[in-house]
Amino acid sequence: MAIGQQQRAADMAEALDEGNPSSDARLVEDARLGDHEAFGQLVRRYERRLLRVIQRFVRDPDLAEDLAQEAFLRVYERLDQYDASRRFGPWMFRIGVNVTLDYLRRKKRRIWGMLFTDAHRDRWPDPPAADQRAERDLQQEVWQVIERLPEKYRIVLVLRDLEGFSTSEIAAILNRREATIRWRLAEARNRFQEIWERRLGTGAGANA
Amino acid sequence: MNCRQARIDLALCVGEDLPEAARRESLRQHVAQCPGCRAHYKRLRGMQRVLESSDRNRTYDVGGSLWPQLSNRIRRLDESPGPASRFNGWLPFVAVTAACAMLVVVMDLRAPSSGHSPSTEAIPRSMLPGPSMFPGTSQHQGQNTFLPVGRSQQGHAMYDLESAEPHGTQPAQLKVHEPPATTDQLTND
Ligand SMILES: [Zn+2]
Repeated sequence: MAIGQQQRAADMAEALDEGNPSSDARLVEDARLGDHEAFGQLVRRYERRLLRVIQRFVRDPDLAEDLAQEAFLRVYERLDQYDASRRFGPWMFRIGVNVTLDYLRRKKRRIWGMLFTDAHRDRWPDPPAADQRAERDLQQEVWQVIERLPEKYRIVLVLRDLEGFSTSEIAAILNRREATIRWRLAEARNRFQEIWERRLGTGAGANA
Repeated sequence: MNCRQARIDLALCVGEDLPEAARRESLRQHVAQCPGCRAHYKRLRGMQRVLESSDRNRTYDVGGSLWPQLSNRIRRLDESPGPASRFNGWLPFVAVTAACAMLVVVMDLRAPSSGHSPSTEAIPRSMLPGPSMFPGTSQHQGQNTFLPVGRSQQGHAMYDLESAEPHGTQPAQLKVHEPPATTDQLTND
């Protein structure tokens, strides 16, 4: 099953849950006391959103699911370290992002560069029809540019401009001051724009 | 405001991420008399549109819930013998000895007033009696050491995710103890 942007907006509201920090904390507390179903509720509350964020970095859906499971396992192992005075969502996403980046680095592969190779084409959720091809080409070009950004800028750009997290949420996820995140975001956008333009200038075929 | 600062602020402005009204105002003044920055802003807006449209109809793969499989793994994790298998039986012995020594000290200290058993120090968290053991935000440093040790040494990288960083101050770095491959994880500024 594939879902699109409307669902994404709904999930975003749900997952970042302005709504539910207290009940998150309650579930965490119950889970700490050995209530598996309480942790199950947390998993179900956040899994779709986490999967989507991971799929920004790892396109293979099966691999993304493995990483999401790994992330939730670590969350479970570290429930002791969760500070209930803070929101659970960013803490959980931080672990998820770290698990993902950890994986990418350990593999020492340029996953970003593989996202659109033939090997992965058959894994696209939607096999593109003819009229979707132009759009997919645009996605490829955009990703080829994003891939060229240094990681610390790339993450912020993806989380803000593609995933729609606010800068304060990204600050909580990456454990940085919001001012730092804003600075990186500005740098990321300026660099993206510069590379994008240069790429147009040197011909669309030029990529990393 | 110079052009360099203006281009940082313009890049934030384009996504409505420039919070201070004062900065927006001085940015407006600069851009009003700087054709270069005006052109730059136009290019940035074009870039935002490219990003948005490239993502507009992106779809995501969503299978069933992760929970059924995950709950099995968690159950196995909880049922696994923990430190015992990894330390050939020595750690429990040492830990029990240490816990007993601690109990002696604790009982000694609490003896006159404490009605209930202080032995919760040596009991896994999942067996603790009630939520009052975890009041609010404190982390109970030094208590319940059995469980975190057993769980956290499962071969994962260990991050100090909440390393005593108060709100609104210089954030603590994300410290990574292992493996070495992750030492620069989110730490390079
Ligand atoms: Zn200027």
